[in-house]
This record gives sequence, structure tokens and C-alpha cells, in this order.
Amino acid sequence: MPPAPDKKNQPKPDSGKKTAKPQESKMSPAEMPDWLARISDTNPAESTGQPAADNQAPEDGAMPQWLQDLRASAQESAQADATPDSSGVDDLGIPDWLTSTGAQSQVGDETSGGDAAAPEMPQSEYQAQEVNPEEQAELQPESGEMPDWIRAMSPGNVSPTDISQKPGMVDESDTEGMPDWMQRLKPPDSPPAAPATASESNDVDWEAALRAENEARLAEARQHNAEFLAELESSQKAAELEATLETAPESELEQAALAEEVPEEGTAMPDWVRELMPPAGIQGRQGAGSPIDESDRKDLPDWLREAVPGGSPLGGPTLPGPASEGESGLQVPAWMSELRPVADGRPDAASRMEEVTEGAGPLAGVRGVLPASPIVTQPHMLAAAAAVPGSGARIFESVLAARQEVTAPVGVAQKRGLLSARHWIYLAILFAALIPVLVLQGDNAGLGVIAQNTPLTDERSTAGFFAKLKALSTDSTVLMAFDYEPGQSMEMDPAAHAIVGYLSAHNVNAIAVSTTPAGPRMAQDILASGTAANPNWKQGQNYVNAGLIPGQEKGLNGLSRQWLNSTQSDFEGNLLSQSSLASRVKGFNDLALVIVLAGSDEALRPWMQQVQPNVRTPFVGAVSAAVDLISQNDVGATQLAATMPGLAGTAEFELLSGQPALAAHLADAQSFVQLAVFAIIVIANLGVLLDLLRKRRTAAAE
Amino acid sequence: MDALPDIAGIWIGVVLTLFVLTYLVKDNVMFRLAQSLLVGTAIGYGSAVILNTVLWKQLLVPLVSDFDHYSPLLLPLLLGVGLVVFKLLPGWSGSFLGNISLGYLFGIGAALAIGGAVNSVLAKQVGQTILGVGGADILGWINSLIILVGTLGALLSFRFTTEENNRVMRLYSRLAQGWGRIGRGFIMIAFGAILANVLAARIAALVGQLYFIFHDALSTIIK
Repeated sequence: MPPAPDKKNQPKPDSGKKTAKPQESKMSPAEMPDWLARISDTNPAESTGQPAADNQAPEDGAMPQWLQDLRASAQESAQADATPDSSGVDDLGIPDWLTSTGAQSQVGDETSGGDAAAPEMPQSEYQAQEVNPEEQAELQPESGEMPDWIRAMSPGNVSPTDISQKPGMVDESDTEGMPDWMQRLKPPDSPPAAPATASESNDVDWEAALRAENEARLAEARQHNAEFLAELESSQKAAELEATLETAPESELEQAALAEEVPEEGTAMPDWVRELMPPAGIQGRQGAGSPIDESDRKDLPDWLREAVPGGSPLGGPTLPGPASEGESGLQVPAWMSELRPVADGRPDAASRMEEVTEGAGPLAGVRGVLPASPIVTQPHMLAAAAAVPGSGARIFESVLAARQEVTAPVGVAQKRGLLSARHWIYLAILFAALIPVLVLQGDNAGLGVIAQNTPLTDERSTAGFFAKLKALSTDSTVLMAFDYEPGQSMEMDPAAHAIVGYLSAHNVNAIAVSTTPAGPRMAQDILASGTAANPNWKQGQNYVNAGLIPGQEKGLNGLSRQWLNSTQSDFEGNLLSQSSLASRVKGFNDLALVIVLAGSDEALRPWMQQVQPNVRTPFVGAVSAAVDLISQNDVGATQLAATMPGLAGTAEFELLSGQPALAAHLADAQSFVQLAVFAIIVIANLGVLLDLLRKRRTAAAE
Repeated sequence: MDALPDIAGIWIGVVLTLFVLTYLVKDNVMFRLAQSLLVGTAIGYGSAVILNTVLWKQLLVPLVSDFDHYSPLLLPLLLGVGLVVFKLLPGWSGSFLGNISLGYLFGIGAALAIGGAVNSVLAKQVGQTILGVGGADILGWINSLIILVGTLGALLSFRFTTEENNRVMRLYSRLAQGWGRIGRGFIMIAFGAILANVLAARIAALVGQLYFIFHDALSTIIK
């Protein structure tokens, strides 16, 4: 990653005076950073008012001998060339950035300001200065555009004493692969002790000045870093970095943060670099010197909070020092290892110019590592991450909240005692049913029965049902289907009793069938009650219990087409052929009416679908109250002539037939219970409504 | 005076009724005992009736008594035996011999159900709704209009299509949406009426059972 933009490097108005020395540096004044401008300001040649274009040589005592020789050879080469190359590279192959570096080296020799940019460099960049100068020469850009950190790594920023103390840096063996222009820059074969001796006299002065100026620039760099972080925080770049931090795996972020750690002093680092090291607390890359207090540590994630002790500056000496991958125990992923330089250990020059190569930590040698310092020093935006982006999440939250509201009162009610509100409702219904049964002994109370006081006119309901039975002539035959379960007998048995009683009283014959296994048993009992009411109404002669019709739809469809098999026996085991009634009836055409006693829609539906469309005999239904509404579809389609719904319909039939019985008596109890249920529903809804109003008033008052 | 078995049967019924009613307080062993007795006796009685009425009296007895006349009954016998044997035996559950019986059973059942639904529901009920529009008096017209609006609205309420960009289709979509809401109201009213009817049926069962306990049972003790 390239270094952060430095506001100090932006052109300043006072830098215009450097435009007078274009030959010394190809860099325009606008492109010149202010730290370089300050270095230029400290040039004694400029301070004396001499133009920079004169390229005034420094005093002999302040310049090493080899550098003087180098400069002399460079001037000779420049004189040999009539005009400098406008493209930035002279005929010797020296790029202009290197030429300017040579000029800076002169200034550096005089003012020791070549290290002025050192505080702006990251730690890894300091270590990059240990790269062989030959490698550096190969890695210089050809375009002449050089970033600040590369410029800081130029030989002009290196102390001549440090260079002189390393005579082996440019030896004969190294010059074999060295280009010509570099070989011309090579110092003469004078003994290395000579320039060192020449510079020793000035070491104390310019090193002291270097330290003083370095400290000043370090302080300036801290302020600059703080400003940069503030600017970065509000910029789009900060948002991108934040998104990268959120989307990146946590392990990668840890490794990236550890890669930012500063190596311990004195490890593989020259003395002069160690002297330039900023004090503890401002180490690291951009903004790494920002201390983190306890309030900031709360905003940090757990993994980072553990890595950064409270009160210690981020990236300070409390962090673990540089360690190899094995020492640190960190496992660098494979894709990260692939970013490291290949065999020769050097990435391509173009990418190196734009990317920062890690020099320490488990990511040492990896290019383009995302610096974690600008990210981790920012407060973690937990509030933004916790925001609900869409309506779906809000709905989900509301559902969760609603469930909590619903479940809480139930749990409280169950803890209060044995009887809950539900049990009180049960008791109310029970007493409402018992009072009429125990107290009201009259069979003709008729509470809720319309036929008691008003004539029935609806031909589709009980009145129509009664009219159909009333129209039956004596000795006619009807088919009765007992299709209900024993559990529905409390509602259906009164209807069956009322119908059979009317038929037996009017000597109407009946053939009983059933599609349920329990139906024949119940039918037999009811038909026998008809005989009990009218002894002349006899089995086999006036009624036949044909028994079970197996097969549901298939059995009923066969019944509508083929009628009963003469070999089939009745409920008593007698063959139907032996019954006079069964012998007379050969099919549905011999029937005057079909009466279906259905306890459910599933029992009524096969009759309407498989039998009724195939016959001409009218159908009526004595159905359960639960089937009444659905059976109205069949009534509307004229498949059913009329229905007698439930216990209330049976009571009406009993009253219409003049034989009030069980249904009329139980109708009072049913009416009482229905009124009780009605009252419970109304009272409960009023209570809920009042409770809501009370809560709203309480909320409004609060 | 009732016979002793009848009295015993009445009181067994009373006890089992009380067992079932204890479920209103809490699920307990007594309720589960009554529940198991109901299911067990229903299945046992139904199986016995089918074995006696269908398999014995209507199948085996005719075959044994007059095989020549009732020989076609061998086909349903083989189908039934194949269904029982080849579907119950573990090693033969996937055999096609058992699937023949199932295929016959489901095929005939599905064909009859579809045919019956078309005949009774689609043809008759829809036709009656169309012909029912109109009446002799103003009340008949209003009633027919309510039926027409409610029926079509109920059908439109089950319309699950997206709105199109066409102007005509957009107008149709809005009309269908509004009419569907009316139909949904009709459906809600119908559901409320069905619920009330179911409640009335259950109340009738409760009242009948209470009458059985306090009238039939107590009458065996208190004269």
C-alpha cells in the first residue's frame, strides 16, 4: 500500500524560490515536499544568497572525499553531454530522480538533512534501506516519478558515515552486474578509511543537529499523523477500510495487525537507523502513535482489546516484537504466502513502487499488506453494524417481541392456581347446561325453537323436511342412511328417533343402510324403538336393516346402479330375499324418499356425488349442526330437498309432528349454553377492550 | 326395571364420561384410558363387523355354498388376499402383486371421486348459481345478487397473480383485488357461521351426555 498522502508534502507558496535550479533537480517546485524544501532551506549555499543553479560545492571538510570524486566525475559527464535528456534520463542512463538524489546527497552531506523524511517512513521502509544499493539501483523507476518513501531511501538520505562504514557494499565483485552509469557513480578505489576520516571531524556536529532536527520532525510527524487519521476517518477511504475490516476474516485482521508491529530495536538494524527510530509510542506506520485509553479500548473488538493493553500506545513496545512465522506461532495462509517475493526475493519494480513490502512480522516480505493502524485506531462502528437495514428484520423483531408478550401472561396465569380463566369458562358452560337439565323439567320449553311460536315457512329447512315426510303415503318406502359415528349419537340419535317414530306412526316402510361399521348397530336400535312405539310396524315387513354398505364411494355407486343384492343378509342375518319389503323394492325407483342422516360432510358427500346424480328419488338430510352450512350448497343445487339441522332442527320437527320428545327437552339446555357462550364472548371482549384503553391511558399519562 | 347388564353398561358409560371430562382440568391417565378404550373398541368393533358382514357373509359363504354361481367373487378375494399378504410380509412389500390391488383400489376411488365432484359440485352447483340469478320479487333479486357477488368475490379472493403494465390488465387487477376483498368478507362470514354451527353441535353432544348422566343413570338409582 502506498504511503498515506502527506499534507506537508503539498506545495507551498514559499517554495517557489527553488524554481531557480532546474538543473539540480528535475522535480518541480510544486512537486517538492516541504521537508525537502526545509532541507533546501538549510543549505548554506542558499542561505548565503547564492543561486542554487550554481551548484555551489560545499566545503571540502564537510564532504567525503569519495563523494567529491563522484561529483567531479558526474560533472565531467554532464559537461560531456551537451543537453540533458528531457525524458528524465541522461545519456549515461542515469534517471533524473537519481540525479536529484545525487544533488540531495550533497545537501545531506552539508546539513545532515537527508534523514528528514525518516519519521514519515514506516518501520518496514527503514529496514528497506538495508537492501543492497545495487538492488536499489535496479529497482529505481524509469519514469522519473518517485514517491516520497523511495526518495527517502535514496543515498542522499543516508549518512555518509554509514556508507563509509560499509566499504564492502560496492566491491569489485558487485560491479560486474552493475550498469555503466552506476559504475561511474562508484567511488574511487581509494581506501575506505579516507572518506571516513574526512567525515569524522564533522560527525559530532551534524549528528547532534540531526538528532535535534529529527526530534522536531518526529513531533511534527505525530501531529501530521493525527491530522491524517482525522481526515481519513471522514473520507470515503475510511468507509472502504471499515468495510474491508468487517468483511475480512478475523484471523487475517489479526495477522495484518501483527504485521504492523514494530520490530525490536537493535535487531538487524544499522545504528544510524536505530538512532532515527522514533521513541516508543510513535512507532509503527500511519497514526500508530495514537495512544488508546480505556474508553477507546471498550470500542475495540475482543481480539484487539486483548492484544492492546489499556493505556499503552497501539503498536508500542508492549506489543510483541518481530518474530518469524514460526516464532510468533502465527499461521500465515497460503494465499498470503503467495504474495511474498519469489525466488530472488524481489517483486517487480512497478508494483514495488506502489506497494509497501512488509519487513517484519509473520507477513515479512509480503507486498500490499493492508495497514491496520488507521483502522484499529478508529472506534469500532458497532452502532452502524447493529442498525436494522431492511423491513424484514423489523418484522422479525416484532414477531419475536409479540411472542414474548403472548407467552408471559400465560405463564403467570398458570402459576397463580389450579383454575385458570379457561377453566372458569368450562365451569360456566357446565352450569349453563346443567340448570335446564336439572331444573327445567318441561318438555315443551322450546327456548330458542322457532316452531314453538311461529309457523315455519322455509321450505329448505326443517319445515321442508317435515313437508317431505308428511307427503309420504302409507305403505310407501323410504331409504334411511345411518351415516354417523357413535360419538355423534347425542345429536343424531334424537333426529333418527323422531323420524322413525313419525314413519312408524304413519306406517311408512323403511330400509336402513349404513356406510360405517357402527351404523347398522345404531340403526337396529332405533328401528326397534319404532316397533316399540307402534307394534304393527314390524321388522321384515315394514322395515329392513340392510346393514353395512362397504367400499364408501364404490359401494354407494354400486348401490345406485345395482341396488341391494338379494343374497345379502340383513342385520339379523336373514336374507333380504326372505323379507317381503326387500323383495318388493328392486331399486331407487321404488323408493319415495331418501333420508340421509349425516354426522359429517365426509358422510354426506358420497351420497351427493355417487348416488344422487344417478337417481330420481328426492333426497332430504337430517344433518349435524356442523354440516348444516355446507349442506346448504346441496340444498341450493337442489340435490337436497331440505335439511333438518342439529338438535334444534330435531326439536322443531318434534314440535311440528306433535310428538315432542328428547330433542325438544334438550333444546332448552342447548339454548342456555349458547346464551352463556355468547355472554362469555361479549364480556371477554369488553374486558380486553377496557384493558387496552386503560393501557393506552397509562401510556399517555406516562 | 332394566336388566343388570343394561345398568352396568349405563354406569360404565358414566364413569368413562367423567374420565373424558377430567381432561378439561389437565391431561391425565383417566382421560388416556378412556381415549384408548374408545379407539380400541371402535377399531375392534369395526373389524369384527367387516369380517362378519363382508368377508364371511358376502364373500366366503356364497363361494362355499354355490361356487359355480358366485365364482366371479374369486377376483375380489384374490385382490384382497394379495393386498394383505404381499403388503404385510416384509420380503414381499415391494412386489407388484400387492400393487395390483392398490392400483385397483386407488384407481377406482380416484375416478369415482373426480366424476362425482364434476357432476355434483361443478355442474349442478355452479349451474344453479347461474340460473338462480333473478327472482320473482325484489327480495329475490337482492338475494340472487348477494349470492352472485359473494360467489365471484370468493373465487377472486384466491387470485394469486402479479400486476401487469398493461392498462387494461391493471384495471382488471384492481377490480379483481377490490372484489376479492368483498369475497374475503363473505368467506369470513361463512367461516364464522361454520364455527358457530360446530360449537352448536358440540354443545348438543355435551347436553346430551349430561342428560344421559343425570337422567338415565340417576334414574337407575332414584325412582
